[in-house]
Amino acid sequence: MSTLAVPLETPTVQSRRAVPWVAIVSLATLVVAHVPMLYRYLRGLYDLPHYQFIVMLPIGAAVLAWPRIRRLGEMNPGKAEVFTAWLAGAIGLLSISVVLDSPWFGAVSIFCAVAAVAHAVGGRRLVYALAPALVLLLFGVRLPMQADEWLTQQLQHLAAVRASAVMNYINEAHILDGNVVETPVKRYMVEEACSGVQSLFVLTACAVFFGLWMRETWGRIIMLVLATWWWAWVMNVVRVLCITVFNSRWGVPIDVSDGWPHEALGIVLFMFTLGLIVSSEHLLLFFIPRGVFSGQEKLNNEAKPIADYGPTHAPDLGRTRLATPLVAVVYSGLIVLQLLPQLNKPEATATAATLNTLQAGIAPKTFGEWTLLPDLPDDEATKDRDGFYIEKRREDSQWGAHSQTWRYVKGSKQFVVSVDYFFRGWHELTICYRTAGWDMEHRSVVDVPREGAAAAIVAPNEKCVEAVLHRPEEGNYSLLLFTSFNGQQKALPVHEKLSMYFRLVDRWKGFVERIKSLGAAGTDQDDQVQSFQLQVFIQSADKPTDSDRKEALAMFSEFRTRLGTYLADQTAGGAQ
Amino acid sequence: MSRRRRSEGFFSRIFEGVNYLGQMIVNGLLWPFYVVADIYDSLVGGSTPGLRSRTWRDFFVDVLLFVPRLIGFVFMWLYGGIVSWPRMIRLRDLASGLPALIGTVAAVAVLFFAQKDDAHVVQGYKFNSDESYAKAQQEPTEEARKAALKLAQFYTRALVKMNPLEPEYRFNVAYIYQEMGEFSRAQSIMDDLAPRYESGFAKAHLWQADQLLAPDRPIRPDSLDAAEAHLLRALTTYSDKEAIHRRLGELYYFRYLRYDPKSFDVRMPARNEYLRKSEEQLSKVAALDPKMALSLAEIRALEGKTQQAELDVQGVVTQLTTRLSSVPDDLETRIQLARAYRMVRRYADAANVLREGQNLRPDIRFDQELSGIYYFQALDIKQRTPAALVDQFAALQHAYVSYPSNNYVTHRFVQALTSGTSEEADVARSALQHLVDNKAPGRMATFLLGFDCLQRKLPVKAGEFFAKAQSMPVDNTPEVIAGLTMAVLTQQVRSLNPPLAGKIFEAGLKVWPDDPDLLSVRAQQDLMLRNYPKALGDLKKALERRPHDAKLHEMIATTYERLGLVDQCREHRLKANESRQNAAPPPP
Repeated sequence: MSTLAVPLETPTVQSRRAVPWVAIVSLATLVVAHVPMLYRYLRGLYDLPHYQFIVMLPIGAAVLAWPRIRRLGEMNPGKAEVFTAWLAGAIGLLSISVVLDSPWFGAVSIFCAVAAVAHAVGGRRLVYALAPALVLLLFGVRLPMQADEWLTQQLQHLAAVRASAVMNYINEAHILDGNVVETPVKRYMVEEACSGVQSLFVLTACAVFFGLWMRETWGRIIMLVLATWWWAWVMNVVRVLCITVFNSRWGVPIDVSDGWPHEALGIVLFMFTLGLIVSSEHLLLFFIPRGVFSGQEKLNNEAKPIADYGPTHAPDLGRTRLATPLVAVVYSGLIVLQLLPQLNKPEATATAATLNTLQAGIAPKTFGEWTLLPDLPDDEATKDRDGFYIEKRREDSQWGAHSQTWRYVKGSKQFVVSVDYFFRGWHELTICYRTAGWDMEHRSVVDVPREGAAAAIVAPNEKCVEAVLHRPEEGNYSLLLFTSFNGQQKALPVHEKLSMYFRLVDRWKGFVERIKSLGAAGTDQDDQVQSFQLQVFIQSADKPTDSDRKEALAMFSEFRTRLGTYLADQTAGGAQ
Repeated sequence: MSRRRRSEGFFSRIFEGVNYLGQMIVNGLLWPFYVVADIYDSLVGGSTPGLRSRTWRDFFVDVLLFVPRLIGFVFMWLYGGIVSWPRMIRLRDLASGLPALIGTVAAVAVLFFAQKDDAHVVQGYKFNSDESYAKAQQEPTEEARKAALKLAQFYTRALVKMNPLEPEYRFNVAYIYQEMGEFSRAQSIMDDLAPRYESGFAKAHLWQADQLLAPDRPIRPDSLDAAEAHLLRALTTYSDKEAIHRRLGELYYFRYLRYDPKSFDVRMPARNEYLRKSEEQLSKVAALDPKMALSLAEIRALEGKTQQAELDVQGVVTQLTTRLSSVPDDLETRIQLARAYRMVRRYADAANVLREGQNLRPDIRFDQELSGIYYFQALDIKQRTPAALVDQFAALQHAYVSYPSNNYVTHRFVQALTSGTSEEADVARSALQHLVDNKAPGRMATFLLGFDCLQRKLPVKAGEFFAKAQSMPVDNTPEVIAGLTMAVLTQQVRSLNPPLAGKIFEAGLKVWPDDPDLLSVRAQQDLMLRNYPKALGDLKKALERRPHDAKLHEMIATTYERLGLVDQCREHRLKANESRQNAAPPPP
């Protein structure tokens, strides 16, 4: 049997590795496309006190990721289908973010993008290694549709109710008015004092970090998170009890208005809760040792070690799926889509600088039979008699950190106009009043009148919320009109009903407007945008009549017009 | 390192047993199908492998045993864990977990088991509320009283929060608001508790009626209707029915007295029907106070039941005389007794009772009441013997001397001077002249003589009287003139015509051009005629004399508002509010 010698081609040895330009450009476009939305998102999120812990998340993520990625051995690029799926997710979510002007979707898309890049570079092994870090970073994503606020309010209410039961037990006379605890001595603003509930998010993130750092299973991490929620709630009840009982019985000044003692109490309770979370982990280890239910009895109750594949070697980027021109093309399109609405975007007129200059003088001295009270020196004691009052609250106050308030009287009736700032996105003021003890009898969305000078300022179809509130036990009614505006003084979409469907419809309408006007209209109207609020609040013993409503709407329109004119003048003056 | 579990053999046997049992059940269930399949096979001559195949049976067994198998698995899992647990635990984990364990036990114990029965809390709050309210009634200073009321209000509001459906607590909150001067809030709560057109909480209905009939409120027919409706609703459920009957009796009697035949309405009862209803209601009250007993007697007298009325009055007189003998300086008893005597026309006795009281403890109410007695005597004479003009005006002279600012006496003199017969006018004139000559107190007599001269085209003599009136000591004469004018202009008094009232008013202004009461009446007229600058002048002049009068400030603010001067309007509105807040509390 003869054999045929096949000449083998001599392999060419490259002296220099080729620069993977296509992959680098793709990666660069990906980063450039995602960064603006991520920046907008983080800027908005950082303004929320209960999410300020996000600055620590990257550090935690690095701590979790480093031991897992340093010994992954020779990494191989992942399968094309999986990479495509991740990338499609990233592009899809970023597109939704751009179309709906929602930085939230932009933030979520980042996770898909990171997973896509990781899979392209190191396949499933790298994605799995990064998973704990990504899970921790997920706690930087706000709950959708402002569910975090809803959750906070529910927990506040539960805490307040339970604290009330304990106070009944210890014979501490009090009234639980919404989420406000009132004693014969003082009215404690639990809705603010109990920002302890807001530490729920940071505590959860800490618990997850701790669980992942201990290399616990997901089941155990979930149990630890549940224990954390329990402790957050218990500590919040303790906080309410401390503030009210200590102050009313012994005069210890730890109310929200008392400054550092209140902060100190918050820090002590927070540290105490962290300690209890660690203790809970050990208690779990005692009651449910590692492997007790999996049939694997482990010596010393040790956690599963991190896989060791040898020192990590990254593959040539040019061999990865990132080296596809299509990626760069699609992301370039998304960059253009994000740039377009910026071309015609108007300058912001309602900024901290302009809003802070609001003075008594912008309000009319009389309005119909209403008379503006004289402007007294700002003092908490004379607040209810002051014609113009400037108030600074805690940064996390649900009423806004700053308020400028004008107060009018007509007989026993009081009419208050206030400009409150800043919030993020639409601020549903009726929730605040309900937590303060008011019952809402009616809520509707009405058009703001555009008569006379108002026609130049109030946008067509500009709407505000009209609500009738009642405190039956105090014989008090109030008529509330309010709306939220962005920096350009565009009214944020008012939700006809507080449902997700209507919110999405509003977003869609905003998108259409934004595309049509290249950003002149409909921009910055999302849940993350910095906003301020104008409210008119009329209190009286009688139920508001139709004529009261008309009068209130006229007042709202008048103030809206004066405010709009003033802020525009201030901005123009500042520019000159 | 792992060890094989000893429990596995035991559980596999249990599983086999469960599988066997399941197959038996499935076979039993499928038996009818097998029979049908056999019949089909015998008829058709074929076979139906699907029904009898092992695959089908297994499928049914799997479906049937899914839940028992799952339970078994979970049980086995737990059992394995429990068996292994003692070998796997570490005491140092327990030591580290102790804070969480102790904290959880403590938190659960305090937050979920340290509960107090709501009834105890309610009882405590009720006690505190009652105590604070009682304390408020005894506090010497207004500030301390308000503080105690605030505390009472706090506890009552706490009760409302705990029992939002309990109307009694809400009623108490409203009541305390009223005590604290926050009437509109009280009214709002009461409106919820006792609506006008629905049956509500009886006490609140009673409160509503009392507010509608309060003496300081203008009485309108619709408010009387509303009060009646509230009282009738309260009657059905209120425990103290006599209180309602008394109020209804008073209300019907009031409606009888104020019956206006000109505003006849077919839906409303006839005048005598009110009288009948009033008697019906008052006769249901077992223990009538002397005042109401007198009213009942008056009603019976009006119904023609004279004998019964007199008996009633005699009873009251006996009762009051007895009381007066034990407490001689009791003002109210004395006044009631005087009224009782007046009803049975014992005017001299009535006057004596009041004079005795005045000697024991001087009080202006004795003067007012005495003036009223003489005024009634004059009316009585007018009705019984119209020709006895001298007697009639002698009684009126006594009435005037007793209290010169008596509106009714002034009205009667004006009526006699201007609308009566010439003889009546002469007697009235000489009666007034007699009062002036004898230096009777008060400026009214002099003023009325001046006005009479003015009417009779004697301006010089009128001027003399007016000059004399001006020089006399200050009293309420201008206020009475202003009140009479407004009563005529608003048609509360119809026996004088508006032009005549206007003339009296002008004469009054001529004599007392700076009097704030007269000026504010003229300003009110000017405001109605939209003569704002003139109204403003009068009001400013009036304000010089009464700088803290809230009503004057309010009128000035309204005038400025109509003139479009917003700054001034605002200034006076604020001053009006300030004056209201700083006003002295009404007398108890």
